[in-house]
Amino acid sequence: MIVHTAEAHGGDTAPTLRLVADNTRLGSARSEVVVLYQAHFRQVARLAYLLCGDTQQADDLAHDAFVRLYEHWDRVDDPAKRLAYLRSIVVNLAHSAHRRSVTARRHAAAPMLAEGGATTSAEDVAMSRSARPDVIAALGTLPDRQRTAVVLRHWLHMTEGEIAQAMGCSIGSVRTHVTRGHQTLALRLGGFR
Amino acid sequence: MNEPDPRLEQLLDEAANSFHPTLDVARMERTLTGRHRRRGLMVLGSAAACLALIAGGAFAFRADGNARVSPMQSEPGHTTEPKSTEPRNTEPRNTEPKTTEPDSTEPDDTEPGTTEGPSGPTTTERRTEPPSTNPPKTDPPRTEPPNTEPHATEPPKTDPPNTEPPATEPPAPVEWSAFQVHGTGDATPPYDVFYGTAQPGSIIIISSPYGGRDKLVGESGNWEVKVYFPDAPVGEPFQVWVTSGDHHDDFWFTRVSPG
Repeated sequence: MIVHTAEAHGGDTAPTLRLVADNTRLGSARSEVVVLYQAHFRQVARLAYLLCGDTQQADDLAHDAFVRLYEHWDRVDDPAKRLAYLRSIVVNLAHSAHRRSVTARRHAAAPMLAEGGATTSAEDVAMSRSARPDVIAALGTLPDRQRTAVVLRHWLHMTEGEIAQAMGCSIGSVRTHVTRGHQTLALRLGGFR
Repeated sequence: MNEPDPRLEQLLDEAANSFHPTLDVARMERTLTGRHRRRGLMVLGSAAACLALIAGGAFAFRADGNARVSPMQSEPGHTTEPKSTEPRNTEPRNTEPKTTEPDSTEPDDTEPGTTEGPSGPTTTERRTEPPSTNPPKTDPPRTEPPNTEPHATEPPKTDPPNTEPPATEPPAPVEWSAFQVHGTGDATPPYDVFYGTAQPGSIIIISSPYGGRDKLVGESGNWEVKVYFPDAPVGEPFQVWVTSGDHHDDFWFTRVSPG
């Protein structure tokens, strides 16, 4: 509104008013992100925990997700879609983190094996603190996309369409990932049906 | 199988609820504030750069009949140009002997025959004097006094026109400005870059609780300093002061991750 008014006057004040409008918009976005943070941080962090299996990393991922949401605030004009967008960010961040951890594990595998596996990793410590370390461990054995699909479907109760949008794939792929992930978990956790 | 499974839901719930993330609103606000300041400064800097480009182009482009790009001093040259020609018109009165000096060598023999004689006897006398200077050995008593007189008057009158143009160039005060590039940093060690404009030769002092640096401003008036904050704590914003003489600006920097 302010920008349009300034441009309608066509004066030299347009850039200044545009800056003021930008600052106002950024300020309101910041306050709205903080409100979202207070309301949904725990759920977002737990989603990240189920996806990555590490509490410290989950905390960082959730924090980074809200910062990313603030940086891309212009892309989500609809308030109803902000939470879905936030979940998509978490899924993508967890996917990237998983790829990095796989690479790191691959490079660190040799020395750890040489020590006879006596050392305990941070993930092992985190899982030992979990009430269901077997669930976290079983989720960790799933391929990245299967784990994401299973968690979004069976924990967040998202529809297949919403999962497809969050993961950036087709609904058919989502069905496949959920089915295979579910089967694998049922095998590892002794069957729960 | 894609329908929600109550048993799996319960297992996932138990696993998720075993994690108790700490809600740190202050940390989030600090991070967002750092990003906000960074974005605002970037917008402000780009707008200032655009305005400077437009204004500079408008001043440098002459609106004369033949549009051409010329330096800033040529714009008020409408007044300076005639001034530069005027002294030349006035110069001949005093510099006549000087102008005749080089000419005198050429028309040594033609002087008597020139038609300029009627313009005045004094000029002819002076014109005759310089040739006598060329061969000073022949008539030392006559040539010396008249030679010293015009020489004494010539330099001070001819010098000012030479000193006029440089006198207009130096006075170009550079306005003080200081900007911050990042505002936050996750590098190891964390750093930020500050830049701006100041009076050439002045010293920029950047100070903070975790690092600082000095910089001598060059002839162009532009300065840029990269400052490292190796001991900065993570997530705690701190103030960075940029000072030069009477000018002060303060910025904030936040180290966002241990790196």
